[in-house]
Amino acid sequence: MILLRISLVSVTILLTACGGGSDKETSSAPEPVNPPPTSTENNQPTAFTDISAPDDFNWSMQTSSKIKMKLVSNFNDKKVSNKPLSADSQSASPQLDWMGISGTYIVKVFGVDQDDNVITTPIFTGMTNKFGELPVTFNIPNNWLGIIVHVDLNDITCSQRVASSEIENLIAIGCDVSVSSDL
Amino acid sequence: MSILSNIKSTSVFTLCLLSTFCLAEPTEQSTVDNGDGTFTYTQKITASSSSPHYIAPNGYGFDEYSWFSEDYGWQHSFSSFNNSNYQIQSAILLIKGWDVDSEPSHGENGEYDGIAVDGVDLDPGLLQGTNNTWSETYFDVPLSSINDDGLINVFLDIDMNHNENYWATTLEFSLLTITYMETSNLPPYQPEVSYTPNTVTSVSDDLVVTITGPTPADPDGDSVTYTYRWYVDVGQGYFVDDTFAGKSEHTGNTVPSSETIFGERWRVTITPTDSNGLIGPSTTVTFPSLGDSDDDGVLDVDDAYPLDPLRAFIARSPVSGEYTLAFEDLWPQKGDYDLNDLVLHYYFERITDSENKVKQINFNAEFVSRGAAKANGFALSFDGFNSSDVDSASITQSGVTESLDPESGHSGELVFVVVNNLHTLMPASGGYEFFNTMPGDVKVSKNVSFSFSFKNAVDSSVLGTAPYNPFIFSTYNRGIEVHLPHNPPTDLADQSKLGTQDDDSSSGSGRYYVTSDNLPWALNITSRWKHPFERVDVTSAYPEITPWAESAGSTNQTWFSAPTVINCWQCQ
Repeated sequence: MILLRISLVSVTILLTACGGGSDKETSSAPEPVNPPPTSTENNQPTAFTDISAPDDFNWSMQTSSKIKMKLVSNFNDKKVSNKPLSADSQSASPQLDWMGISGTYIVKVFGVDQDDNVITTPIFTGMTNKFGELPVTFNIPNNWLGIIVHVDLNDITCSQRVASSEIENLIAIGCDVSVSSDL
Repeated sequence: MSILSNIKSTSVFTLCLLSTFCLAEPTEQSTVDNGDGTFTYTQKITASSSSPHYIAPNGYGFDEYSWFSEDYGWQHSFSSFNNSNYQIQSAILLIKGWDVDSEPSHGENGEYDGIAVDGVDLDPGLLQGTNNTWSETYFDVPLSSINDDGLINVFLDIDMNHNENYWATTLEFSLLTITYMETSNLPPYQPEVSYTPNTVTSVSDDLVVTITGPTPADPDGDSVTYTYRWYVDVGQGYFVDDTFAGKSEHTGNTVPSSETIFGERWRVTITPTDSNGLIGPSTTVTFPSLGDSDDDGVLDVDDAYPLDPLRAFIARSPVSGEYTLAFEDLWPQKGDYDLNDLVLHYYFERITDSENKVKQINFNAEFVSRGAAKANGFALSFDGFNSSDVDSASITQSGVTESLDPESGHSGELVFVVVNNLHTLMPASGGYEFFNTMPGDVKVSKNVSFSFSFKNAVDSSVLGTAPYNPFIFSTYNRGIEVHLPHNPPTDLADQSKLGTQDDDSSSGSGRYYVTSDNLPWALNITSRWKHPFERVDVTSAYPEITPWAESAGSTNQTWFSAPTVINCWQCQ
């Protein structure tokens, strides 16, 4: 039965198919005398033109992110005059008011797909500036769960997972590095 | 005080009356006759000095703890700079500071306070000191900064590696010491040097600098000796004296490989001195970084282009596989929404430099289908740039690579026509009017790759992200363009068509190429998508597109992976 339906589709289209347009600028695709039979297995009653999409709908299926990453110490809080953070602070998400880590380091951003698999090829590779900051622009598909940021900081690798919904203008990347200052 | 010293002091005083040099005073200034035909001039700037030597900023400066945003400067002077009978034997700037935390153990997180003279950064590249101690850093003052106008403008850049308060320092004084002699003899020439290795450097190479000229080395024929001052950046981001970095002191022309470590950078300054003790202009050599062949700051192991200083990183979009662009071509009328008038699979590569700026864009496309009778072309627009920004561009098709000029007539947008007529690229054959849109019509798709580079690498946030602004246009009516939803038309588009017929574009609000129901004429699909057969509505081929679109993408996010297999090309 399926073969028969395919044959019908093929023959009909061969005889009557038309392109999306013609050489005449104003003409639409001519209607075939006998439109090819199409399968609507789900009995969808709608055509594409029946769809009404919301005004702000992002048809692109991906989101462009323009963010700045900043390396921060997991051990020092500049708000309290360079005092060490509490012992359990490492389990907390790094905060931008923690002390920054200066210097140029390689940063790689990996995607986490909808099945929570980490894509092994980075979507972005770059290097922080001397302030330990990195402006980044990249796309991720809307169905990805988020990103994982890896930073090689000499002998230490810092890793930060950021959910798609939490990708904001400024992202703190916490590293287990103690930072000194005159504060 | 000798008679000559009195004469010197008098001459300084006289000059004070004639010029601005002594409108105000440094804290101390004197010239001493050394009794051997040489004189030593010293000038100290402190918090007590006054304009033009020093104008104390409000709340910071000499004798004040000063932070990253409290940089300041001062001015030394040497009024005898233009006396042709005075020749300099040495010129040293000594700066004394408190609590300069520039120990190499801080890595790139220390306090690095740079000193520049007349706008040129000095070596060492920072004040050398330790926590809670007084420290003195000696800088060799370039002769050119003295001989040009006698004014040595010094600037202190505090805590260069931070843009917030981290480190502060206090300076006690800046002392300029110039030893010179009164003679008709001339100083030696600036040395000409060669050095090895001068390209790729490994830790097994000795660093050697060799004097190669000039000949003669001195205009008077005097014998000339050379002094070598070696600096190293051990990961601080700046050059410091080798001894400050914990290395041995090197005074010759060689640093043995046993003294070097992967990732370090080395620099040497060679100063010529003739037999009268006169010094000439010095020469500075910076060796390629150990392990960074192109010296762009990215180690070879991390550098996708280790021999190209203009390129460092590459990002593929998508990271694997290809995405799809699918177009309807009847704009501003709605089409038949089989979304196959042009279908191509693609990926971009964005190549950036060590500062993460975009140097090059590669576009690789597989043109899969042409479901249009009308002759269309395909182009890419990079909004915000101009053709003058392009260094070079090329296109490769069927194994032939040709240069490609940007399309003319655009301003503030860089447009490349990748294919001018898709009929030529994807001709009808085998009894099929179209190309790969009907059952049984299976032709080999056409690969086209395109690449261009910017003259100067550009900010990625300005360039945007892939797929940038792709569009199709009518080959014989260039003003008709079809873009992805909300991507703007180019300058060559017929603006009068916007907002007509089924199009609901509103350029004032940035709304482009959507109907009043927000339906597009083109889609960018995050998959290697198999398009519907000719005249098969996409909702029949991919039923889940309807709930996906009507839910604003919150459901059925992988609609493109759920075809009704008999309704799309190559789905079975």
